[in-house]
Amino acid sequence: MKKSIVVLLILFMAVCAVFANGGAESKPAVKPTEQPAQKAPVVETKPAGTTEVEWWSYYGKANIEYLQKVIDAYNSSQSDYHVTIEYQGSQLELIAKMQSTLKADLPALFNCAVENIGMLIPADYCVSAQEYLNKDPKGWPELDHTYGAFKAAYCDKDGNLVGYPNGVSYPTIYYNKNMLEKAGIDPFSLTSLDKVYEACKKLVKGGYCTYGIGFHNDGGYYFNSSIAREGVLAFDNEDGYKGKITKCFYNDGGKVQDTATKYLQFYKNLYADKLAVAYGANYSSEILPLMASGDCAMMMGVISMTTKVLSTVKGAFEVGVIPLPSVTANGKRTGEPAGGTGLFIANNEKKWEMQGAYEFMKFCSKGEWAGYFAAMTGYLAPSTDAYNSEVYQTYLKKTFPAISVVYDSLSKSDDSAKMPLCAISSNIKSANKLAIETVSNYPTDESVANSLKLANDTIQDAIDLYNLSN
Amino acid sequence: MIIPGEVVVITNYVTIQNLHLVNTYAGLFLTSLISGTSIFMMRQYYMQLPKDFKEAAILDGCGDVQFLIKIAIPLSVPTISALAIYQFVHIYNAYFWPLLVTNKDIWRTIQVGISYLVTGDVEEYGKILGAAMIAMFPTVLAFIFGQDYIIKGMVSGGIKG
Repeated sequence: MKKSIVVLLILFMAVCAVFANGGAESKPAVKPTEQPAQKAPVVETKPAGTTEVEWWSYYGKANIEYLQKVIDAYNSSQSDYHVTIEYQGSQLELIAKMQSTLKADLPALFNCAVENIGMLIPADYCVSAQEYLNKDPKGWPELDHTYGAFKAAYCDKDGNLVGYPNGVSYPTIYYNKNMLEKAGIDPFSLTSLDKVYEACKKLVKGGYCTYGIGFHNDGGYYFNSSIAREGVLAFDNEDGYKGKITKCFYNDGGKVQDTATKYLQFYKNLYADKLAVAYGANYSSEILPLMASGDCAMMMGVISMTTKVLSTVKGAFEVGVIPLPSVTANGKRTGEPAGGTGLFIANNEKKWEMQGAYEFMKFCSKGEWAGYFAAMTGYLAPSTDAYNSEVYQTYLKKTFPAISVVYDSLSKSDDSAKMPLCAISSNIKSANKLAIETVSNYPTDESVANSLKLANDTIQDAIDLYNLSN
Repeated sequence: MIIPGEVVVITNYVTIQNLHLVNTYAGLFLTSLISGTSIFMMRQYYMQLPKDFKEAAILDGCGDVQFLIKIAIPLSVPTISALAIYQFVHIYNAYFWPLLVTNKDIWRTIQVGISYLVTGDVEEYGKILGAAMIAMFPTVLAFIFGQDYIIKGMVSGGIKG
């Protein structure tokens, strides 16, 4: 009996092993540099019939409802393509699915955060939108009206468009305008982190509030953004725009180390003097209620939090917003680091679906629809067309006039504040975030030096490992 | 039991993909049909079954399979019931696997649906908690109706001789 059961088990495992050895998976991994050139679709007449275009997204229910309106408008405006949107979990879960799904099962369109664009460029599941743009006889007029900083964030190192901004976020500081006026602080003078620290000290020591500032806990992103606003390149090959990143400069003994050290010292000083909300606090359930009750004067966050900020504050005070300061007073502050989510074309090898994805991207970028989505969600309008749309102008005038400060800054900006272009962006963000958390919890000079060294070593290891295998 | 689920999820997913079971009910439950924990617990139970049962059954002309079907399994109903309830709760509450093997909303489970309500910047706690309460019902019912079996199953696995 036992022997026969053992034999049966072995046979079962052998059968499983046979099924597990799928044909698609037995192909050797292709290095990105050896990838066969993606076949761009030839501009030819689409066959009759409606092609289904599936869009994978990590937007939640509320945003998907707004996007459904855009989708319905597109679907009813033409009959060649029919777009449907499907929720696929969080950002990281969606990326994991994109990486593991067989090409034939991939959607035609997907969302991804702009700071992960370095991961998408060499990926075989993503196709650059530039290929379609090059062959598009009608062109893409809305591209010319897209804010330069945002457009640059979605291009590769050769300036080819990879995707298009769908929900443009932007690092900023929200503040209690009434409180800052009372304390005699000009919010537009907060152009560097030193000045933010001084303002927090004045507010707390002056008894205006308990905490000068609170931080959205996506620290890795703000670290990158602040370095970018400073105008400093923390990685070689111009942050990956002139070639592959091979070196992290956090400990270079030069300007980068100096800037990164000053950035961490900002947190060290704040927490040593107990001027900030405990790092890691949830912005929505902890920091915003503190702001609403007058216990916290400012919050470093992203512009997509506007709806939440306004609904929590409920008119208790006037909310203002300023662009992210640079690290030092000598910071460049001419670049605007982009954040948020973009649309990208997935390579499912179904040319008409991919073509439909490109056509839908163009539709989404139209002023009326991009402006609608920005107005409903609090994201920024990605182009002047969207900014000037009636729906967005109404939002600007009635809901949040203070946001015009951000557009003033955008109109004068260049594209110098880009995120590092590499496939290990999430490793960089994690290392940066850990450095901030460590310094916030142990606010000493030694902690600053050790955290920066650890971040540098962690990122360098990740870079080396990635370059070794790619 | 010492192997975390995350270690095998990749191979399981590749297997399900190659069997073309993505976006199917079979893809959702197939990998849950066999559980190391269940095998271990049932083995522990059967090991403490008195040998006298087996000897008496052999004397009466009962073969191994007959012994299993007519004696061992009926005796182990409380343990099987307890395991069934634990497994049901564990699989019912699974989030990552259903998210991974389904791409369309019509195949999604309620656990994935609850995460869909979390928009990130706009959190509707009322709806999320309401959905969580509804999602809890089957597991609460399972525990209410199966609590006798759960206790018997827990106890029977520990008694020897």
